[in-house]
Amino acid sequence: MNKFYSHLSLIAIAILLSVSVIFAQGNYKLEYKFQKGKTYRYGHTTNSNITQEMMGKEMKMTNASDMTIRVAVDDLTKEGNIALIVSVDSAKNTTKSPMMDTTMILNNIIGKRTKITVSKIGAVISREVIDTIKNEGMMGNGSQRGMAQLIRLPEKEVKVGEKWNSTTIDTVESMGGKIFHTSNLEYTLTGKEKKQNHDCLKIDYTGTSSDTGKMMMQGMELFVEGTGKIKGTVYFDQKLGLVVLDESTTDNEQTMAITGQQNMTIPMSVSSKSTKTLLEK
Amino acid sequence: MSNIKKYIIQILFLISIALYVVGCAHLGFTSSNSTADEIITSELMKQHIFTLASDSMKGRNTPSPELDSAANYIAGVFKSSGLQTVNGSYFQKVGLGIISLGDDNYLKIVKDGSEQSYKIKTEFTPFDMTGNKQVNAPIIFAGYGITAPDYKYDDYKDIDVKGKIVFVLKHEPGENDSSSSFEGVKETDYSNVSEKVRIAIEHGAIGILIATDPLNHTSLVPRGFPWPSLSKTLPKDALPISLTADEERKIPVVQIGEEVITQLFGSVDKLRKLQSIIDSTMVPQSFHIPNISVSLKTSTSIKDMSTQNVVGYIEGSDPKLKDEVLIIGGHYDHVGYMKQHSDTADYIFNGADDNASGTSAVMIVAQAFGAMGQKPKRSVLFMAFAGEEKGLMGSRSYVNKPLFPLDQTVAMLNIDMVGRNGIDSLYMVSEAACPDLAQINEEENKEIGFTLVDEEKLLGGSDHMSFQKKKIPFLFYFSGMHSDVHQVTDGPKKINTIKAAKAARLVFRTAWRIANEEKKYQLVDSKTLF
Repeated sequence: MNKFYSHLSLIAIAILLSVSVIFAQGNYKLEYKFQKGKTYRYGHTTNSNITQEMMGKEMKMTNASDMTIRVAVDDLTKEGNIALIVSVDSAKNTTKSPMMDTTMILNNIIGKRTKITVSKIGAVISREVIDTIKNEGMMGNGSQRGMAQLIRLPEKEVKVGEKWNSTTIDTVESMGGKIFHTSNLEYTLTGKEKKQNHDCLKIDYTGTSSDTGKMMMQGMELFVEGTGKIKGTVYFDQKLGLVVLDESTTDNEQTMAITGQQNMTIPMSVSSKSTKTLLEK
Repeated sequence: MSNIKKYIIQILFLISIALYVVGCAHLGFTSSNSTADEIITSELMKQHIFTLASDSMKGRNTPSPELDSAANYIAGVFKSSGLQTVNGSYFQKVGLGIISLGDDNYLKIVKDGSEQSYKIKTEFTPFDMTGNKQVNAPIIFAGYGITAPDYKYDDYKDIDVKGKIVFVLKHEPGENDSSSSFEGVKETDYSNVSEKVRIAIEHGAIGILIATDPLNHTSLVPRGFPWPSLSKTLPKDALPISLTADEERKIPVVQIGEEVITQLFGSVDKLRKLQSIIDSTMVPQSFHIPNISVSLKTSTSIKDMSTQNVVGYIEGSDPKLKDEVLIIGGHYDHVGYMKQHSDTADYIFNGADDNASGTSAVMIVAQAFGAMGQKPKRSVLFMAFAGEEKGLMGSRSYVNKPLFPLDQTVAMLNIDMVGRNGIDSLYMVSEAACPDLAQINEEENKEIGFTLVDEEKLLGGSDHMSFQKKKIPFLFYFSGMHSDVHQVTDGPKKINTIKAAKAARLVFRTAWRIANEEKKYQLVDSKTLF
């Protein structure tokens, strides 16, 4: 019986989760206005269709992840930066494959805090894991890092129709190795729209991402290489300085290669739809 | 083959002869079961499992000298049980190899007399199923490249692609439409690239360009297969072992990106609109793309890694029914050993449960059949498959080049991991797919006493799937997953040989029933299964 499918799928999903939460937005001065002592909660759902080719066979799977993310404002610094304590209140992951259906409550990441200090436009100043996740693997580490991502706002005032860009280079240490993420996003302020009883600025974005790296799994070397495209819309409440809703679709072409007692090259195509909604402010 | 193994085979041979003599005294179904019960013992099960899962077998990787040793052992048991060879051998070649991308690959498009060449990796990339060939031909847009009578949809209807190169889209019509006649948002096998290639070849195409469909996907990267030679990250060692049969039938298959789409259709948006018409009307829009010819060459090199299935045959006694074949099989390979290891720690994946237990059950059932003193009405083919752990290679190779016609193969009984977990229960994961076979099995189980657990989701992952894809009814015997699977701890001492023997007795009873009746069995709705 072959049991690598489920392991590899979860690793791929985790890599993508950590990228998919990078979302966007912006004559309008856009900045985050988190208030000290307050706690914000976001619901984050991602539904993915995965096609994986392994050992000469193509296998299709679906994955649904549903998380509630807690963002507590720890401090507002003299420099105008914002220190946030980010954690997960609930996390469920459901995978359906021809092999079996599995639903996991990711108890190991619930309540585990990461402190992230960002500028008013979302540039990351520092990141510090407060509670290490046991048996992290890619799933734990990817989720913990991913939930601490904030979208990048424009440095200058922007008008409707104006664009701005952001490039993010990130390194995730996991499973005895490192994965390098690069993303390039272009944002366009496209107008105003009411969303969830908030007067919002509508920001469309498109971009690309890439991942490369190497890890260890069960004594085998695991190599990762991939590229992706993302397209989405963010609704930003300028008055509150908060993202109200972010909807995105991503297409990723990834490859996992394994050497050791098993030698495999596994191309994967992952199409995802993701929604991040402000639940409580 | 070692002296110890020769000795064991000699002993087995003598035992088989003795049992055969005893078996001759028994005729009839009830007495046949008692004969089988005498042969199918936990002691004999233990003997087989401890041989196949011994450290000397080094985890029976595919391919390896140790896998060959295991094959010789199994063939010896088949021989000593009185089973016949097929085409003069107890072995059936399984053509395997590691396929690397060659140096000479190109894609050129001549449009209105002007030639444009494209760059490998960034503008086109061969798939792993590509052929070692050069072709030059006009090009046909063939929609999604699907001929699906079961969904009343045919992109090749009213268009002749013989001797042409086809351009097809990935996926299938209505990919994100829950009311799509292609099973809604659940993708069918028709969306597989391998299926599109098979269909194109059947229609006579000589080359294929495949593009990611732009209506539902934003990334049109021409990845094809992620060849290490085209990557800075991926190691050459990770290239997988593949089936290498029918190399001459293969044609150039490449994935193309936006540049080629634009050259062929004018723009990506024009292709997107074509796709949108197909999706909204479910009417194919295939056509010859005028004033364009495509020159395509892909090259590969193959490192031969071939191995063998083991086969043993009992010809049926009924003049008419003997043309029908029941297959009883299980895989005898496992995943080998850790190449980097310390001398003190265990490093061999013995694969006692996975699948020395199932292979031993196949051998013991063969021994029981051989000792019956009467031949079944239908013919029976016992098989030990290689390369299951590499992707069902042995069974896929068999169904591609069967020793007996598949339309005369009445059923396949697959035994994979039957020696662990509770002694009283056994997974039978084929009830929904093959209810009439499941009924026979349940009736026979009344004398055996297992609690049979039906779990359709466990269908995937073993050799019956190769037969299922060819619409052959099957039963799958399985005692469930456990923490030792694919670990060095899956050793022979952990096997409950009493349970494994009990499972083998159930397989025997069910097999004997099937082999002695005239009924034909149905595979229900195979398209919805893996």
